[in-house]
Amino acid sequence: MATSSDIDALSSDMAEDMRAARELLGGGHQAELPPGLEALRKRVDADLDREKGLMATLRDRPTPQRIALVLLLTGLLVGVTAAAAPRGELADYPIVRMAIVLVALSGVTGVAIWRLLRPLHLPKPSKASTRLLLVAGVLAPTVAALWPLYGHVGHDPGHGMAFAVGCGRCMAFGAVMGAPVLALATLMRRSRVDGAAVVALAGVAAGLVGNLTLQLHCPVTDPIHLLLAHASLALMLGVVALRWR
Amino acid sequence: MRSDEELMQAYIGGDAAAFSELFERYGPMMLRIMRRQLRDDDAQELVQQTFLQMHRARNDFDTSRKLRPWLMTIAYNLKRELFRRRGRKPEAALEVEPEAEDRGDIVERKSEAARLRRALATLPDGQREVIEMHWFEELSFPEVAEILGLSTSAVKVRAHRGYKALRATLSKDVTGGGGPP
Repeated sequence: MATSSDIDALSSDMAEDMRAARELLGGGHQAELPPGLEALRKRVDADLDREKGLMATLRDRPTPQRIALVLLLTGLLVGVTAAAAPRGELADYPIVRMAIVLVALSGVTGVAIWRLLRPLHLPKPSKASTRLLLVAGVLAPTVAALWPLYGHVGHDPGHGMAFAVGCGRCMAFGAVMGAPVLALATLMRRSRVDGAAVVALAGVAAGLVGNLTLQLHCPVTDPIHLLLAHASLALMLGVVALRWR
Repeated sequence: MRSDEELMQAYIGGDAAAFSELFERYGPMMLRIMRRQLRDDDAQELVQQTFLQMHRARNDFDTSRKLRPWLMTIAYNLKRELFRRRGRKPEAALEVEPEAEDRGDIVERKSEAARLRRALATLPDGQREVIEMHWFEELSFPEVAEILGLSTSAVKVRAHRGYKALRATLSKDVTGGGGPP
């Protein structure tokens, strides 16, 4: 293991060798302009000319404002759901459990949105951290669905066709609520060169928003319904985001 | 002459001429960096993307900080993403075969340059990037640390290890050879 003094001792040899290497490879500040620069400049100018309109204006906002806008939209969707279409047995639902689920889902959603809109001038986060976030986004609503609920019985999910229709309605509701977040987050991303994990994260974040609204809207507490119609949204919208890229 | 940071501040304020000056300062350097590892069309595409991202992120720029590491972080992140998308390591690209009419020193220099590029390409990404940024692009260790999100001492250790690995690789190539040319 090299220590600081080892490195300092070697630094003069290193400096001399590497200066020679730089000259050999043509690095550093050279007076001669590389070929193709003029054509490149024209293409950059053309890019900048195209940077007009509402989406360009939104993308240009400072990152904290871009993140705040997406979070504001999320808050608005959740707030409107809670105010306009709350679950029928909300007053009886265990308040602590509700708070834990909402905070957990909101937390993962917030981190996912931050990761999505993270600017390129910051050091790149590791692939592992993005994948971990994806897993957390899919697991959080799954754990919420499987978390046993004692002392409270929600609405009957029905059987057969009625069960399927109920699941379909919840999936549609969650998808409709998540779609604006997916659209806004995707349009406000500045880079189009992100890897698949980041693209999928946009869909997972939208699925989490769908779960947040469903948590406040759907009175069914059956774990199978929650798994199929609520928790699956994160995975489903993640796949949609990948196909949409 | 205005500093990079003053130019960026002017550009954020709407001075398009400031962008031209920044392009003149950084365009050539970035093109050289990218061409060291990429085909010309890919290198041009990445530099184009870097300036587009610089424009889009201009309102994020903190004018009390240095522009160079800020801009270089964008460029290196784009380059890494390209390599990641293509699922390969940087190649020892742009090796120019000596032409028939080249003689003596020129042939030798081209051959040495090709050898050095090959040796650089064998280094782990972390070491190669530090060597490129510090020794070839003359960024300070703290600037390299800022770009890579590491501590300055970690960057120095990578530079040291990379240098030793380069010396070892180049020594293997040459009978009784020393280190880098």
